[in-house]
Amino acid sequence: MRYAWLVGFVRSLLLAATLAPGLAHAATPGADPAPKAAAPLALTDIISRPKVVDLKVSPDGRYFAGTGVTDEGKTVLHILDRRTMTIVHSEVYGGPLGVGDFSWHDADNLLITSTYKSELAEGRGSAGVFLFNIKTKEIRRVWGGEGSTDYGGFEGGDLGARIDDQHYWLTVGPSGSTYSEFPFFYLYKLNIFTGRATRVLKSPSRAASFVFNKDNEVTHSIGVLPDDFDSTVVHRRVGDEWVHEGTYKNPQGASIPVRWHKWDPDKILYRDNLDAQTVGYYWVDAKSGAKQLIYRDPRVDVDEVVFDEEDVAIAAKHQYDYPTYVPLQPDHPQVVRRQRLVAAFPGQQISVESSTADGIEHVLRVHSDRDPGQFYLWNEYDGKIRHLMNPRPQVKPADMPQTQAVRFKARDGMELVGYLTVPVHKPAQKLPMVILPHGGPHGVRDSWGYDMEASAFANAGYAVLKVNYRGSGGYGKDFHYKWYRHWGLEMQDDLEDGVLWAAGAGIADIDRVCIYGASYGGYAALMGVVKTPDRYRCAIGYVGVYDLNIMHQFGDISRSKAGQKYLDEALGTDPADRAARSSTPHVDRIKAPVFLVHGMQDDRAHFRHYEEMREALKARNHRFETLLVPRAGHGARDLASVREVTCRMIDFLDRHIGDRTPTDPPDDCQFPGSKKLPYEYFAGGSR
Amino acid sequence: MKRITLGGIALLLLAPSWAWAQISFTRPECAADAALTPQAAEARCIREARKRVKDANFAALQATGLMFNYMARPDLERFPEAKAVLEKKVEGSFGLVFSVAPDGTVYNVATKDVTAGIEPLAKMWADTIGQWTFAKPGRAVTDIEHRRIYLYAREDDAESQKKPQATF
Repeated sequence: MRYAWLVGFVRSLLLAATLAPGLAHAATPGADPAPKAAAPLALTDIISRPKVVDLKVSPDGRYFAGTGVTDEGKTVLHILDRRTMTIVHSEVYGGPLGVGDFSWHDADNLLITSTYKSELAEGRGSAGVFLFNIKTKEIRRVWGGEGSTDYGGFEGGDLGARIDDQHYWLTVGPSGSTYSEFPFFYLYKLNIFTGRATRVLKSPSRAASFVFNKDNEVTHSIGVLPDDFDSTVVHRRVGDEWVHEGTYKNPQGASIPVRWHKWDPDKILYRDNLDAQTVGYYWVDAKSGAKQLIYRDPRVDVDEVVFDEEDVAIAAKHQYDYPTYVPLQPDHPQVVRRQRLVAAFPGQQISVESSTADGIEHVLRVHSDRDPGQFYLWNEYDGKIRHLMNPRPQVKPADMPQTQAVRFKARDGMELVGYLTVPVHKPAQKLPMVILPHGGPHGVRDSWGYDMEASAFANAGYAVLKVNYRGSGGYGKDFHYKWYRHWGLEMQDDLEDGVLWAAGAGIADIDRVCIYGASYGGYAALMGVVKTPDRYRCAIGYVGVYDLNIMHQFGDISRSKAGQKYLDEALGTDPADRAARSSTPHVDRIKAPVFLVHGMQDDRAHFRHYEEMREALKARNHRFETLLVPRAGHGARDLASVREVTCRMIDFLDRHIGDRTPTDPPDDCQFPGSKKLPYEYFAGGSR
Repeated sequence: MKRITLGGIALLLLAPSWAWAQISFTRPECAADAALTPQAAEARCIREARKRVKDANFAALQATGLMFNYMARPDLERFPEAKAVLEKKVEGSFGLVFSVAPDGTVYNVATKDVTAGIEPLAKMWADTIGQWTFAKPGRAVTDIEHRRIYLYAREDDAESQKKPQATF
C-alpha cells in the first residue's frame, strides 16, 4: 500500500520510454484554455497530498530520490535505481520528524536534512543532517541539530554550500526562540563523513547569512539589526576582520551582495533598490565599487537573473501579473532552447528541480494554475523530454478552475494586480464571489499559479479574487512600506475596489460576495464586514487578527524587540487608533453572518482574538459559526483537518451566497479519517 | 559472437575495437583578450572549445532522432587507469563511433583519433557508451559520432592565483 504510488511512477516511466515525444510533441497537460461543462471534482481530490513533493536525479543519472507524505503525515524518502526502476531503499519517518530537504552529495551519498513536522508546525528548525550511502544502505547522523517545534524560525542549523568532497558550510543559530533580540549565528565547516563540525566564525550581525568566493572563503555577511525586521546589515571580510559595509533601513532600500562572478574575481553580483523603487541586479566592481545595472523593471522586483556558463546575464524573471521571462539576449542558445521548452508546454511554468553533474539531464517540474505540477526528464543530448510522474493523478487539469491575472484601478487611481479563479463548469458571468486577501500583510503577495484553496472554492462554483492590495510585497519600496499603519484603511478599500471591478466586469454578482482570509486575511475579512457592512453577504475569518491591541500585546511577534518595533510601526502606537481599526470593538456594525475558524494553539494570531470576537458576537446576539482545530497553531496542517475546515467553509458559503439558504442545516463535513473538529452554530437574532 | 537479424540483413555485433590510432594533439589557439588576463582568456577559450565539442555531440545524436532510455556515465572506480590520466591532467581528444540496434542497444563502439596518453579514457568511454540504451528505434542507426576533449587551463600564471577579495 505504501508503495502504490511507486508502482504508478514506474509504470509512468516505462510508458514514457515507449511513448515519449520529442520536444515539439511533448504532452501538454492542462493546456486547454477553454472552459467546458464538467462535473465538479470531489473536495478530497483537490485537498490532497502530492505523492511526491520533490524529485532529484543523482549526479550520475543512475538514481532518482523522491520524498512523499503519507495520508498519515509521515515523510517517506525513496531511492530508485533508474535502470531497473526498482526501489533500492526507503526511509519512513514517523512522529514529528520528517525530511526537510535532501541533496545528492555524489553518486553514492545522499544528504538529508531532517526537520520537525507536526500538526503544530511545519519545517521548524533543523533536527540534524544525515548521510545515506546507497551502496552500504547505511544512514547516519552527521550533525545533531537542536531544532524546536515552536515559532521563531531561526533554530538549528542550515546546511549551506559544498566546500569540497567532504565538507559543507553549516550556519547554526541558537536553540529555542525565547530570545528577545535576533541572535548571532555561527558558521561551521562540517565534515559529512566524520561528523566533525569546526566553528569558523561568528557572524558580525544578527541572523546572518554569508557570501563565499570561488575559493570558498567567506567574503560577506548579511544580517539584521538586533531589534529590527526591516533592516539589512552588510559586512565584508578583510583578512580576519569584519568591515562594516552598510546598514540599511529596508524602506529606504538596501544593497545586498549575492555571489561572486564565476570567472571574474573582481565582480560581485548585488541586488539593490537603493536608487529605485524596485529591486534590480547589478555587477559591482570589487575594486572600485562601480555598479553596472543588469536589469530592473520599474513596476516590480526582479526575482531572478539567468546567467549562462560564462556568467553573462541572458534573461531576467519577474512577475508583475503573470510570471514573465525577459530575454536580455534573445538570440542566445540557452534562451532559444528555453523558448522551445516553453513552446512544448503552452500556458505552463517550467522549473528545473535537479540536474545531473554533467548538466545533460534535468528533472523538470511543469505546473500551471490548473496543474499543481508534474515531473519530466529533459535530456539535452537527445533533445527529448519524457514524462516521469504525476504526483497528484486525481487532479485532472482540464477539469480544474482557471486563474487569470487581472489589473484594475483602485479608487485613488493606483493600479492593482489580482488573480481571478473561476469555475470550469460555469460561465464566468455574475458568479457568487469570494474575495480572498492574503496573509502577511506586508511583503507578502499572491502570484499566478496553482492554489489549492482557491481551486476548491472555484470548484464549488465560486469566483475567487485575490488582490495584491497596497502593503503587499514585490511592487516596490513604497508599495510595501508606505502603508504601515494603514490596516483597515486604503489596504481595506483595495479589496472592496476589487469586488467593484469584478462586478463591473460582469464576473461577480455584487449581491453575492463573501470575504474570507487567513491571518491578516482574517483581519481583512472581519474588517470588511465592519467597514462596509452592506458589501459582503458573509465573512470567514481563519486564524484571524480581530483586535490590533490584542495583537500588540499577545502572540509570538510581541515577544521580541524586533516584533514590538514592527507592531508599533505596522499597527501604530495609539491604542485608541488601533481599536478604531479593529473589528472586535465594532461588531455592532456587522450585518453579515460570520464564520470563525481558529487553531487552539495559535501563537501568531493569538487564540484570544477568536475568544473575544466570539464573545462580542454572542453578546450582540449576532449569527455566527465557529470551528476549532485543537491541535493546530496558525493554521491546520494535517490533511483531515484541512479537508474538514475547507468543507465547512464551502458549506458556509453555499448557505449564504450559493444555492442553499441560510436556514439550511450545516453539512457535517465528515470524511474518512475526519477528526470531528469542534463546531458551533449560533443562530443569533440577526439575519 | 552475438548475431541478430534485422530486416533480413544479418548484423554482426562486434566487440569494441581497441585498435585505436594514436595521434598527437594540438591545443586550440587562444587569442588574447584585452579585457581579460591571459589566464582568464585561456580559461574561457578552453570552456568554449569544450562546449563546441559538446554541441557537436548533441547535434550528431539529435540528427538521428534517437531517445535515451538510459545514459550511463563513466565509473572511474572501474577504470583506475583512466582516473590516473584525469588526475595527471593529460590533454588530448578522441572520437567514438557507435551504432544502435533496432532494440535500442548499442553495438559496434569504436574509438578513433586517440591522442597518445589518454587511451584509458577512450577505453572507459567506449565501455560507457556500450551501456547506453535507447527507446527502440525500430531500425538500426549506424555510425553515430561522439567526441571527447580534455583540456586544462595552465596554472603557472601568477594572475591565476589571485583570489576574489572584497576590496572596496
